[in-house]
Amino acid sequence: MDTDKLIHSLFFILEGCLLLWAFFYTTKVTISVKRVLGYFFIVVCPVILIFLFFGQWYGIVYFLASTFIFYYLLSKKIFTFIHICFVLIIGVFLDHLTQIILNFFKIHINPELIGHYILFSILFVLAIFVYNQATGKMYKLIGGVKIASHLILTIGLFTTITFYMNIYLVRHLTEDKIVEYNIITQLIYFSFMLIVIYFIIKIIKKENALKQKELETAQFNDYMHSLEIINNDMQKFQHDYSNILFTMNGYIENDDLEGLKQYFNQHIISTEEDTLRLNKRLSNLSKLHIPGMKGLLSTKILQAENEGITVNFEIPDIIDSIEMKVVDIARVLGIILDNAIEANKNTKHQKEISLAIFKSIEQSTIIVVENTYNDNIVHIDQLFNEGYSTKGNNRGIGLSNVKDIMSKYPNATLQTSINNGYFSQMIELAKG
Amino acid sequence: MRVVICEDNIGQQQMIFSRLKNYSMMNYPSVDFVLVASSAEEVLAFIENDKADCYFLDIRLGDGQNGLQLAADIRKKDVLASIIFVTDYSEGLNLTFKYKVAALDFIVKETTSRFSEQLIEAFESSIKRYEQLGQMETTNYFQIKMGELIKNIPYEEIYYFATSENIHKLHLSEKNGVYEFYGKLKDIEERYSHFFRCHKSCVINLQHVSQLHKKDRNVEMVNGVTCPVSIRAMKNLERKLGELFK
Repeated sequence: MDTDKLIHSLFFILEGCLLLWAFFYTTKVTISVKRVLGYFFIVVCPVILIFLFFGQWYGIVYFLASTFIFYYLLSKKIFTFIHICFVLIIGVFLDHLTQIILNFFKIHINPELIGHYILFSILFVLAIFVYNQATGKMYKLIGGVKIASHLILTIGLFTTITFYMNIYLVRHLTEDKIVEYNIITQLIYFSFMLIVIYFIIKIIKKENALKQKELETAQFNDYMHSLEIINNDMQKFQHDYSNILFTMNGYIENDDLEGLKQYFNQHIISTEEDTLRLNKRLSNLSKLHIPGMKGLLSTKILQAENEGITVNFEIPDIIDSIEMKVVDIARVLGIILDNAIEANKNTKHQKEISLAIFKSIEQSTIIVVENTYNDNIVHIDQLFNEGYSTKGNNRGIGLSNVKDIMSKYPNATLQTSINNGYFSQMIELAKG
Repeated sequence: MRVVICEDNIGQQQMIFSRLKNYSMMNYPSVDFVLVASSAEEVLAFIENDKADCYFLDIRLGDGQNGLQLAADIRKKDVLASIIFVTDYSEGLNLTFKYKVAALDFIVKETTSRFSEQLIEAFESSIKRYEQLGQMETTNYFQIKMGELIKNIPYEEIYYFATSENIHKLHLSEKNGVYEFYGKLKDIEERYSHFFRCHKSCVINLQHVSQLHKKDRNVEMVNGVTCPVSIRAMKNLERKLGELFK
């Protein structure tokens, strides 16, 4: 009996030392004789006293509270709490695991406790090493996200408390009370997890909104850029314009009516047409009040015109809202327009893309894109299959994405057809 | 056929009216010009209690009135009427005309002779359409609404109908297009003798089957797309295909 007790207390001290080492090791607080002694007097001694005079339960509470405060004062880092929690959780968990392993292999070393303590110590030291390695990754993952460390801390704290309550409180309860207690802890744990998940979802949502904003800003910048280009064109025209006036003045002063006629037809009419077209495009875009789409459209139109494609562009109604997320509609339109541009590559025939956005009589938003195409479309159905492309061309790239995005919206339909040499796609977004 | 003309410029209005009237007196005496208006209000008042089969509308009506809006108002009341726009210069609104109000045609007021020619062409096509509407058997077509434009797809040209991931949306595939609309397969399978419900998610047209893969339990259509076949439908499908391609 006496040897048993001796071994028990010896290993109890060993366990305490292991914990102490693990705390210092994981929190990266430099270990020193002064600090160990400090811990001994501030934490260990009172715990033993409380243990003896007040009871186990109070001892544990004091132990947890004083340990947390002790290490926090030394490190001044929130992460210290997390580490202590995890060390404790690992300790409790491994204690149980050791028991299970011993029972499973039916190992009996006499006296019985020695086996338990030795196995536990080995496992614990190993686990702490592994944990310490893993923290590097955890820091990296969390980065500057403050709320993440708070969440981990609350989970850690909560789990530690539940673990300890499970182990120690249960011993003092009758069977009926245990059921009651279990229900309460389980319920609290469950609702707590729900709260954590709620916060996580909130954070993710925030993140998404931010991303969308970024995308919109990028598209808006694109739009500004194309406006700049148009503006430059206008300035160039203004410059040309004064030149034209001077030249015309020259003809008039010389009474050269024939020359004037010729000059007018050759130079002015054509320039005027360009200006009209530019003006038209500007005024058309002005009815579209969704910056993200504006950016996308103006960029794609310029891109198409640079490829020598004639772009007709109609927005007769004011479009200030659309029944689809801007990110999604921009993605869909981007793919469709890219395909339309791609379909007109390597052809000397007339190249044309027409695009219209308007409100239908039922107030749904309708977007139509019609374009000439160069390649052979055999089966429209197959364009929507992933990885489909006709020989040499990449038509249909992304159309399966379009299908996926569209299927997210019950109010959206897509019509795809070919008629009279035009490939035509219509998106109809029914009003809510 | 009953015709309405709306043009705010009196000179042009009379020109259009007389040109059309003279032409129809010679060729189609039954055409009746029920209203020659110079403002959108007159037309709106007219369609309040009455209807016509063909409308010639100026796009830019004075006082900031818009022929496009007027056309939309007419469409609200009457999906079948022919609408022909008359414009001062090419508005560049071809797609809008076609899909927003399902306009039959639009005429640009260019030189007088060309204008008059186009006017008659448009008039002819509206008469042709009017006659077709009278004879058309709607029972042989599947109608898809693309904006206001109604597309008639003959049943025999349809490859298959399928449900999409979204419960209410159906998917129609034919040689020249793939369309989505709201509906139920149950309402479709009965409409045409060669339609066959081969699976809870598919109605195929037996005329366009290219191969039946019994082992994989699907059926390949002529466009290379495969549709699933349920165990229950397999036998029936085999029999029907046997009858059809004998």
